[in-house]
Amino acid sequence: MAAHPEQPMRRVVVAQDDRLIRELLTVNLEAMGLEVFTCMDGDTARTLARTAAPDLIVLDAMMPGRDGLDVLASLKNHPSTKDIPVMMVSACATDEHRAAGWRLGAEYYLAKPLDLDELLSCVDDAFGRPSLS
Amino acid sequence: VTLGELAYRLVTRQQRLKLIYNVSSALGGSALAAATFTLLGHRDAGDPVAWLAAIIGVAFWSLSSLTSVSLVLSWADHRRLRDVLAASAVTTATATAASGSVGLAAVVLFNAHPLGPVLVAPLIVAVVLSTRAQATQAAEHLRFQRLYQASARTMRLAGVGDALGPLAAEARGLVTGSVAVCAAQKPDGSWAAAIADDDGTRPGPPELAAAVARLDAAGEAGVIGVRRLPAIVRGVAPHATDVVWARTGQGSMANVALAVFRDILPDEQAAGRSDVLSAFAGHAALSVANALLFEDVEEALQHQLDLNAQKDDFVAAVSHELRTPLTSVLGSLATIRRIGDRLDPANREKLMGTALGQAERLRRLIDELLLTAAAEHGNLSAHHGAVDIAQLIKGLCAELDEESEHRLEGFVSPAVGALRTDEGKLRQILANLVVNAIKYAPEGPILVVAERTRSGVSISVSDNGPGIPQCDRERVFERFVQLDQTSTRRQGGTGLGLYLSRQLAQLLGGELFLAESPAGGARFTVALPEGLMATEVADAPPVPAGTP
Repeated sequence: MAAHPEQPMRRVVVAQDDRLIRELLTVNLEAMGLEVFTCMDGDTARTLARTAAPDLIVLDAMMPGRDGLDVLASLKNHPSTKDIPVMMVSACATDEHRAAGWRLGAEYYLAKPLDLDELLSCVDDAFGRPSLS
Repeated sequence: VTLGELAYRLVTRQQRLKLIYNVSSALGGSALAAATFTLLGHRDAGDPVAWLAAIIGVAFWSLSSLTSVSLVLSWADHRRLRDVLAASAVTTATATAASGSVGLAAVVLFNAHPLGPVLVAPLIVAVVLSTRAQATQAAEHLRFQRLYQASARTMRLAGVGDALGPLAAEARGLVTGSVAVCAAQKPDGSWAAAIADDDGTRPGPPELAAAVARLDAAGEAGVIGVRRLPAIVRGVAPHATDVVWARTGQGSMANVALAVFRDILPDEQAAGRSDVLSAFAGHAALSVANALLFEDVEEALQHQLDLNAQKDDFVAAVSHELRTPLTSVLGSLATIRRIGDRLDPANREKLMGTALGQAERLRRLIDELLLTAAAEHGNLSAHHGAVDIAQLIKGLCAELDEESEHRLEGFVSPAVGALRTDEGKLRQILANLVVNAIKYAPEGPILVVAERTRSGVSISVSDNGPGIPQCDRERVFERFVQLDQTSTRRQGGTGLGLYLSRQLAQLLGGELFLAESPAGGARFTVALPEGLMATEVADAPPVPAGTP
């Protein structure tokens, strides 16, 4: 799926400390015509969200330093970032954890191990495009 | 009389004086009855007023005697006044009534003939003796009644630490002492003690417990003068005058010693008290044995619970460990199929590398699980052959290069050459150590160094990570142990790697140990012997029993 040439490239921030997953997501998101910014910890994720003005943030729940839910809360509390859709990716996918993510304002909550197809169709959904499948 | 008795009780408490007191008390009752009757009745045996006055006089005598004795006893023996009054009321009433009757009989006989009262002298002696016997019996009865009550109160199930305090407190009450020590031997042979005094109970030092257990009163119970006590025991109650002591004998369910310190002079009941304490020691042993059993059961239960929790954690960890690489394999392959034609060659190569590397990781994990299962059942076997160590390390570094983000370096001393060992097993050990280093030391080089030693070859894997604290250096080799639970969540792992690696190293006739690396990180070393005859023999096909 390529971007329309007349539109500016959409931006995604991927905050993920697992290198392989980060690379896998980057390759796939770039192939969808998105500009991808990556980082490995919560603090950088928050900074990137404010400076890069992304259209979507894919946030791992468990990262070194500030953890994902913490970053989510601070993003949703800040006027410049509160409207950016956030996709949480978490190994803790019990109802309680999901509820915690949704309460804090996450638009999507995906469980690990990650299903790539599910993630990519959520990205399409976030951008209001028909799903790949 | 009251003041005199008070002084007597406080100052002397001597047996002879006590006897004199008892006799004079009885004679006093008789004399009071006789005098009242004589004064009011003027030798008229039929005067009801005189009879009434004499009886009232005797009752008053009885009451004052009972009250004064009880007050002093309750104060000196740390007992409740109500208990003492109740315990001695019958005895005192009987004694006074008897002595009063004797006094009246003497008056009546004196009226008949001046020498008449001599006839009742034997009666007086008999009354004194019988009251005394009755008092002793009552005291004995009371003691055993209290023994049963004390035993009943200390039957509750608890750990040894919780059992000793109440036992000491009960012993103190039984022997009416100021301080009591209860000492018990634990299964490991050490002694524990509890001390009970006016302030409640508290644990005592093990040295005190052992000293109390070693006291000797020419038998298993008795009264020991304070001067014969060792300093540590005397220090518990410096003002004590003696110690009533008892310990359990041979064949008892548990070894228990009781020492009760008293700060009053010995009386004739001391022997009785030490008998009661001895009986209570038997009960205390039962309590302590129960407490030990209770601790055992509790410990076994906790162990089971820990095992269950470990098993649950293990199952969760293994499923996570299996699914994580599978996610990368599937994700990479799906990506290649979907957008492979649009990918640049470098990215395509990277995805292929990821898929292969993670499939390899899966294979290692499955091998690890199977080998651990075999090790658990004692089914591990080695297949020796000539192994070129340099080649092995080169291959290992190539295989894990990608996963280590190119931080892996191998150095093999030319003196190492080839070694007869099981290549697959050695590879498994080294791969395990390297993967651990990659996980726990996220930065800096990871070195694999093979050297010749005096007894064979040593291969070490060292990193620049945080290292492993001295206190945990053996624990890491236990099954399911993952040191930092916070990093475990992040790093994953089954907690089997080092356990299995050590099992495998031992299977190869070698050792796996851990030291600090010069750079401060962890350094694991596999030491393999040159001569491997023993394991080669063990590796031969099993010979059926009975075959020559």
